[in-house]
Amino acid sequence: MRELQDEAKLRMPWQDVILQTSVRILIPFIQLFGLYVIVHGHYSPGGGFQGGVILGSAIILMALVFGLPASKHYISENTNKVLSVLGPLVYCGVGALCILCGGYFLEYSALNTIVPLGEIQWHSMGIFLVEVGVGIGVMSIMIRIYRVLSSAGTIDQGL
Amino acid sequence: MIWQLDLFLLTLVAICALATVSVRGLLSATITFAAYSFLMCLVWAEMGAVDVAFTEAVVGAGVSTIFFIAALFRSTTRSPLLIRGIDDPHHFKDQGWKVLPLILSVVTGVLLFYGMSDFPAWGDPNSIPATRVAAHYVENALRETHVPNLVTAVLGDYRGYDTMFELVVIYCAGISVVSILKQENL
Repeated sequence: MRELQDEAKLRMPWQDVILQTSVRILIPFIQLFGLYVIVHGHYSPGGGFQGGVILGSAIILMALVFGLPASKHYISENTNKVLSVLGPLVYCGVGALCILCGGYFLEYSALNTIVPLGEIQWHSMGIFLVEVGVGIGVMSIMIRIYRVLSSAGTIDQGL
Repeated sequence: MIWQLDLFLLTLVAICALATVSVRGLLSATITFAAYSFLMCLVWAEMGAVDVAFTEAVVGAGVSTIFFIAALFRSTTRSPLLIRGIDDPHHFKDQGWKVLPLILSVVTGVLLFYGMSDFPAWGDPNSIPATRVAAHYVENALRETHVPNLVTAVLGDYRGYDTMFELVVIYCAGISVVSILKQENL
C-alpha cells in the first residue's frame, strides 16, 4: 500500500486515457440510471435510498478517476453541505406541511387542501416528494463521507 | 425458492465470510467482503426481496467497498495479526484468552439456531405476520396509495417515520465522519 500511495502522488495529473474516456462516457448513464431508480421507485424495485447512492457513486467515480478537485468543480463543497441538510429537511418539511394543512405528521392526504389533486393521488405524490428528499440527502452524504475519508480530512487531494 | 441454488449460494457465502476473516492482507479482506455482499444480494434476489437485494448491491458491495479502500489507503493494509508476527512467541502464549470468545460465540450461535425453530416457515401464508399486517398491505396498499410497488408504499407511507429516521441516521453518520476526520473548521 505504501508503494500505491507513492505512485498515486506521482500520477497527480491523471493521465490514463482509457480510464478517463470510459468513465466520461459512463457517468451520464450512471446518473440517468440513478434518477430513473428514484422516480421509478413507485413501479419497480428501488427508491430514494438506492437512487441516491447511485447518484453519489457517479460523483465518487469522477473523483476516483479525474481527482477530487475535478469532482469539487462539479459539486462544490458548499453545495454539497447545503444538499446534505436539504435532504432531511425536505422529508421533515413535507411532514410538517401536512400538520400545517390540518393532518397528522406525514399524512400526505392533508396536502390536498393546498393543491387539490385528490387525496389518494397525494399519497402517491407525497411518497415521491419524500423519496426525492431521501435521494438528495443520501447522495450528498455519500459524497461527503468519501471526500473526507479519501483525503484524510483535508478535502483537497483524494486517492 | 430453489433449494439447490440456495445451497450453492449459501456455501459460497460461508466460504467468502471465512475468507474475509482469515485472509491476512486487509485489502484482500475488503475485496472478499465485497464478493460476500454480492452473494448475499443474489440470495435475497433469489428469495424475492428485490429491493433489499438492490440496496445490498449498491451499498454493501459498491459504496462501502470504496469507503473501506479509501480508509485503508490512508492507513495500513497490514492486519494486526501480521504486524505482531505469526512467528512471534507471544502470539501463541495468549491463545488461551481466545478460547473464551470461541465458547461464547458457539453458545450464542446454538441459541440463535434454537430460536430459529420458532420462526414461521419461509413464505407460509398462514403465519401470524402474514395474516395480520402484511395481508392488510397486500389488499389495501394499491387502493390507498396508488403505488404498485408495495415496498415503496410501506416505506414511504405506512412506515414513514422509519424511513425519516433512517435518513437522520445516515445524516448522523456523515456528520460524525466529518467531525472526526475534518481538519479545517466546519
